[in-house]
Amino acid sequence: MAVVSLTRRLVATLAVAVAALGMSLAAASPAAAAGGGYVRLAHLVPDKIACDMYLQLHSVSGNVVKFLPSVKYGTISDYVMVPAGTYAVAMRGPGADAKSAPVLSTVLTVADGHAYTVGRMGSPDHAEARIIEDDRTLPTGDQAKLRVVQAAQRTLNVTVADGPVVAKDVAFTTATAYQGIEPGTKTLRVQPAGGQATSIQTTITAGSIYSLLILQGDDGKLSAAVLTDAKRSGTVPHGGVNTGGGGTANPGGNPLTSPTTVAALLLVIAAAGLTGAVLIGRRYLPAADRARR
Amino acid sequence: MTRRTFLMAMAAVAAGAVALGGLIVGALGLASGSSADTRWVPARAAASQPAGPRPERLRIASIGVDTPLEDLTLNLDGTLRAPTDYQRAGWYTQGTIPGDVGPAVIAGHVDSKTGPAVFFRLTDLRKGDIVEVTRAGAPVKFKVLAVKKYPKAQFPTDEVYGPTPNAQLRLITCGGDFDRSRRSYVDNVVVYAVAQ
Repeated sequence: MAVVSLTRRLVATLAVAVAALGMSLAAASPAAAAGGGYVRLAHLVPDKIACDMYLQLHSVSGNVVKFLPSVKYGTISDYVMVPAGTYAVAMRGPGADAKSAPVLSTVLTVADGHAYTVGRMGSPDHAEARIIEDDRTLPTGDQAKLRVVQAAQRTLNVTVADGPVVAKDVAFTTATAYQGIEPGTKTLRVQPAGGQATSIQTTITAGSIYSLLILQGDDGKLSAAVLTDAKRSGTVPHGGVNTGGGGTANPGGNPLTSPTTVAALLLVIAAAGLTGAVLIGRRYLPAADRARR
Repeated sequence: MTRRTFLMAMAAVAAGAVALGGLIVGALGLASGSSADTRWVPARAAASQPAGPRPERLRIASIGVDTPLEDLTLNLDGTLRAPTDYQRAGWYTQGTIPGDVGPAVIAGHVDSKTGPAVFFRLTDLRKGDIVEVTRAGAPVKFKVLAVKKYPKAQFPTDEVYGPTPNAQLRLITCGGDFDRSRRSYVDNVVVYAVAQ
């Protein structure tokens, strides 16, 4: 019986070893994205209220990273690149002290490689500080990506002239998901329910990402602007690059001591050890136990 | 040696070797294979060739790099072709021009078959170091954001080649261990930089 329990213990030990192997493989996944995140500030409430906008480190009393004075409806700033971390976006009255309590504010957690549009959003009677996450991931194939940011008090449809629907029944104060769109020079047509349509012509580049911002004028008329959220050119290379001849690799470059060879040798030893253990275990199995097999 | 201790010893040897071998394979990032190296993808027409002056030279004072730039294109399998000259870096012509919005790409060898090459000291770069690309005779300055190393089998295409809101630069070379059977390094080193 001792042998049976030993064999079991051997199997259990190997299972632990195999689990350890799995874990070491998981740990080999690549590091997180690099370089910081992107933040832009926006005023998307169709009213006459201007505000000073601040991007501040940690909280509304933290160091000012970006300041935009007297921001009016329809403004979206360029992106500011910042290290990943916690920030506050604060809105104060025009000319108010930077240390005064903000009228509106929100906490923003910036992750490496991610982009955000933050600012005054909502309806005139319910304005608030909001965060929209922007996309930076590669579009599929040769496509680009487009979404609608709807800051006009209407419900509307967006279509590519002589082409597909981009977004249907887009309500005021919403941002649609990003949709794939073919590259080229396109006319985007914005049709409000029961109102006059407006169009904008734009060049869409493969691999790039856009937001179509829809605003309303004092007279209630719609206007549209295309924002480039992120851009790239040309074809995306596949995978990594082979940029080395090996002339400075491992001291002496002895293939017998390369980590790959050592790993392979260890696995062979493991296999031999296992086989040996099983064979010997079998030979010493009591007759009754062998008969059971 | 009793039967019992012999069996235990065998088990311990097997377990230890498996664990150690696994750790090494894991550290090398070999286990997920390198299908990325051999997968064939249909050639696609370049969506849009960049307009404007091509970059001529790369200077990185902090690591003593001063090199003219070759033109780099894609191999038939869709991977980025490395420079033909070990001592020169190359600019990927079917991508962004350094200084334009987007991720411009410059690659260089870490070593030749016999010794150091143009990007041998790339991993010595630190956050904040200045990288200068000459374009139409004028320098475009970039500031290093990060230096990262990835197994080639898990190359982060989105992060390296994905669209950016501003003008950025990627410097790429090899790193990690050299796999002699494939005659290729296991990792890629990527330097991320942003135009100042």
